[in-house]
Parts: sequence; structure tokens; C-alpha cells
Amino acid sequence: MTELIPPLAFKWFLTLFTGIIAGVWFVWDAVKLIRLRTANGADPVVRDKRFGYAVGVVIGAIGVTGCLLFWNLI
Amino acid sequence: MSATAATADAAVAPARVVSPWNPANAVTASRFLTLPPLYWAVMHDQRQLATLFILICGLLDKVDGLVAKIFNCRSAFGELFDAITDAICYGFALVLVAAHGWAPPLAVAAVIALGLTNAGMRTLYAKRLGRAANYKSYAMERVVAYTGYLIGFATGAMEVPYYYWLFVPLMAVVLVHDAKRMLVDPVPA
Repeated sequence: MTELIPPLAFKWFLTLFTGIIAGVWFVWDAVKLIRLRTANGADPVVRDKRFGYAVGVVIGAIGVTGCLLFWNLI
Repeated sequence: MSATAATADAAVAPARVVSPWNPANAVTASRFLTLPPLYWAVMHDQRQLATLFILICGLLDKVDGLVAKIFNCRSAFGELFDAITDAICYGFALVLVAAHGWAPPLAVAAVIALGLTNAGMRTLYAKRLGRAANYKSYAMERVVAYTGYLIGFATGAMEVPYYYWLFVPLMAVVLVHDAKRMLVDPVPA
């Protein structure tokens, strides 16, 4: 098997790539969700955004948790 | 136009007629070029190369939106072509990694089934609308992005069962949420 980089570097690459993006994703959508707390909940657009951002927060949390599992930290 | 209609159709209302032969669609189409080398890499157990090719495919997905903004060539067709390309590229890659034993086949089958259901609902939505259109869903946009990562997790052997089996219920919930808006709620005039 040809390897572009050493296995440990590849593992670190996967961890950092996933962890950083998932972490930013979590914070980004959490901030957007918080900003919508005063918006009109009866508006379907607002409801759709709230649901979408909540899904983003969940995905971000799943991503970060997976990185910790990858290194047996939890 | 109601607020619902504005959301559902926000991304597909072109201000002018745009040729389908534009730079953004060219970038979208170029994503298909990553599939043959991805296939080769998976078949030859080249995990790092396979990860690289799926990464390139995912990056091109981001670049096409940027190119559309720069060249001012956003269109309803472009949005739809992008969604179809996502489905084909990610669907192919998911089946490939599952067939090669890098991902749980049952979870992949569930993801494909949910994806096909989503595509069917979008077709029904377009029929209700009377024209080609890509339904705008904030939640599904995020789920599709996660799908791209699923392939990377499989090629990188990174906590595969964990990521795959958490994805399935999440996508199912989003699908149920979108079903009402696509199939029941009023469509834009």
C-alpha cells in the first residue's frame, strides 16, 4: 500500500480536519441559533432556520465527540 | 409571495437568464472526474489516496458556489445540477466503500434509501411547483455535508460505526421534517 504520509500523521490529519471543522460548525450554528431566539417563531422561515441550525449543532457535537473516540479519550 | 414560499424558493429565483454552460456548472461537472481515481484507490486499498480524492470532490462542491458568485451565474438549473451531482458522487462513493467492507452495508443501505426518498420528495415538490427547482432546506444542507464526511470516515477508518449509525436517525428526522413542507405546505405561486 502506497502511503502519502506516515500513518500517525494521517491520523492527526483526519483528527484535526474533522475536529476543527466540526468545532467551528458547532459554534457557528450555535451562535446563529442564539441570534434567532428573539425572532418570530410563528414565521415558517424562522422555524426552518432554527431546525437547520439545531441540526448543525448536533452534527458539530457528533464530529468533535468522534475525534475524541478516535484517540480513546472518552 | 408568502414567507414559506420565499424560503422554499429563495435559492432558485434567478434575476436573469443564465446559460447552463457556465463556469460554475463546469466546476460542478468536474466533480465526476474524481470518481474513477476514487474507485481505483478503494479497489487497491489506498486509504490515503481515496481520502484525498473524496476531499477534492467535497472541496469542488464548495468551489462551485464561489465560482457562481464570482461570475454571477447562479441559476435554478445550477442548483438542481449541484444537488444531483451530490447525490451521484456521494451515492457512488458510499456504495463503493460499503462494497469494499470499509463501511457497514446496512447503515449505507439505510442512507441510500433515505436519500432516494428525499430525491423522490423533491421531484414531487418540483411537480407541484410546475418547474425545475431545488427545495431549500437548512437542515438537509447540513446533512448532505455530513454525507461527504461519511465517505472520508470510511476511507480513513475513523470511528466508522459511530459516525454511520448516528447519521441514520439524524437524516430520518430531517427527512420527516422536510416532508411536510415539500408535500403538504402550499408551494410558491
